[in-house]
Amino acid sequence: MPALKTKKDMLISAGIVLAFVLLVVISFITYTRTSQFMASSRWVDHTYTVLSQINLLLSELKDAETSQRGFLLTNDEKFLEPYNKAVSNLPNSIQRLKSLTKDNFDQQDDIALFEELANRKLLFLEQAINMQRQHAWKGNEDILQTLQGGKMTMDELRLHIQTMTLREERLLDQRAESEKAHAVSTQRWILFGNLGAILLILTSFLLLRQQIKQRIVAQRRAEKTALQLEITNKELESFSYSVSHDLRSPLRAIDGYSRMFEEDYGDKVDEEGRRLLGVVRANSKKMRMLIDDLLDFARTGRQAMDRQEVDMNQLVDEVWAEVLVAEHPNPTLQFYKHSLQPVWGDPVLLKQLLSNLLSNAVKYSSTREQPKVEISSREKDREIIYQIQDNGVGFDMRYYKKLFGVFQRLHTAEEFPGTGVGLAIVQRIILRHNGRVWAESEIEVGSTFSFSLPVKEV
Amino acid sequence: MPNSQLVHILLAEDSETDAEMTMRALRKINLKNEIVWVRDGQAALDYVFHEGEFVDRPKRVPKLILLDLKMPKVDGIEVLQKLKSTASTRQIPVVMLTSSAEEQDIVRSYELGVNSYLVKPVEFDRFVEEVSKVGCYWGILNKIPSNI
Repeated sequence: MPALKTKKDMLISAGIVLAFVLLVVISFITYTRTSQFMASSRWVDHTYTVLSQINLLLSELKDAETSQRGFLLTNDEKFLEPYNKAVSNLPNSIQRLKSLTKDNFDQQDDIALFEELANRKLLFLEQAINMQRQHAWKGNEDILQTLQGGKMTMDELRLHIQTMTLREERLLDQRAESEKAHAVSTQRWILFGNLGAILLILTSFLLLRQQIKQRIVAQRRAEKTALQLEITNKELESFSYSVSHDLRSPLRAIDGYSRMFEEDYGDKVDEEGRRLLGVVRANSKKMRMLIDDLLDFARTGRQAMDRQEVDMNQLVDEVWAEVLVAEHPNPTLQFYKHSLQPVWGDPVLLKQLLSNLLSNAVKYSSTREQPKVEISSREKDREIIYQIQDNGVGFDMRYYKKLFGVFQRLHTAEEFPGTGVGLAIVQRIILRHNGRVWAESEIEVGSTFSFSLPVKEV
Repeated sequence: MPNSQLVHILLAEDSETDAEMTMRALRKINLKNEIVWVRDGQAALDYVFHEGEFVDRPKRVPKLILLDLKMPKVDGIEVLQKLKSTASTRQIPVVMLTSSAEEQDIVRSYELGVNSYLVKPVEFDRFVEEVSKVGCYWGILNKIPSNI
């Protein structure tokens, strides 16, 4: 299941990344194509500029010719004004056309030819004007000849301009054609790109939605399970509590009535009868201890936690004094307490925990000649580890699994008294603190109980 | 108290054996007074307020009430609540005598004005010792208003 999820996660991420890349590419293409279109539209403008410039040249030449004809007819210098203007303008106009088409060698050649023809034409015009000034017109053969030459040159010019115009128009057509093809392909690119991106995003979205749905279902299931677990736990707790609670009343009766019997009829039964009664009372006492421990155990799980900074040095001193009173240990018992780190936890629960572990250490080392109990602490990986070591009888590590179970004992009651709940309580307290508890032991050498508590989360 | 012989105690206890042991413990201190034993909270209320089967009993007010916490029908807490919220019975000393050492039960009892709270020991010798101490203190030593 987790592997599948990561695969799906990767798919979704890949889809979104791909869609993003696609959109960036499309944006880039759109931008460059738009720039190209703008450039090509400038080219179209340019073409028209060139064409109109060519026409301007022609009309200037025409003006010059018309003006020359007028002068030839009238011999009036006034008619020559447009001619003079054209002559002075023409080189500039040609120069302008040259610069407009400087990127095109064919056109440059065309313009060179045009310039040559125009100059020739102007030369014919000038010759005729000069002749007119020297001789009178009226059937002057020379002038007629010059006019003839001028006309031919003009025809040549018109033809040439037609060629030039055609060439420029063809250029325009070519450009338009290629732009059209480009436009179509660009359009397709943008369309397919966008569709692809939409498809990818849609797929990612669907996958994501599916996953969210799955997660919601899983979460609901987990919540339901947690709720059920909580209810079951509560039921179990109240059950164990009421069982241990309700067991005390009959037990009190067993103990009470056997005692009352002893008091009222003690002198009427023999020693064996009193012994039997003693067994009944001893067992009821044992059962009372079991029930008390069970109640403690049930209470450990139900009590609300009250976490605070706990001075473990002080707590251990306190608990040790109580343990000494309760266990009446051998006076040779040695206790070493190293400086202990403070911890974040519930002081009442931690006191119970220390009490159980320390009284165990005292109990199981009580048969030694030189009993010794040692407690120390250290910090490692955001955990504080406490260690309680004794040189007692130890236990067999083969039965380690049973060590922290309720009513599980690794020694008989004759060897060491106890009900087998103390370590179960220890484990429960540690679990409620999100800590760990473990033990190591060697028979006839001693045991080391360790527990770790997490340092306070800031 | 000069007239300790006249003190009468109401014991509300559903367990017959607990009741017998309690009464035995109280007699051990030579408390010759009358002990009335009822088996549940409803009977205890009926007794105090002269209702139900106790409608015709003599007009006497118990000088001490020993209440078990967990009883059928009406439990000790409810009885306590009723007694302490009624003007005529508010001053009667009430001692909880129960198996429960639960903090919440203790807190609730004191909130409702219990005079003393005792957890019944399972061991008979200690049980006798503690119950007789309670009887001795609340039944003999403790002074109560004379109008009760």
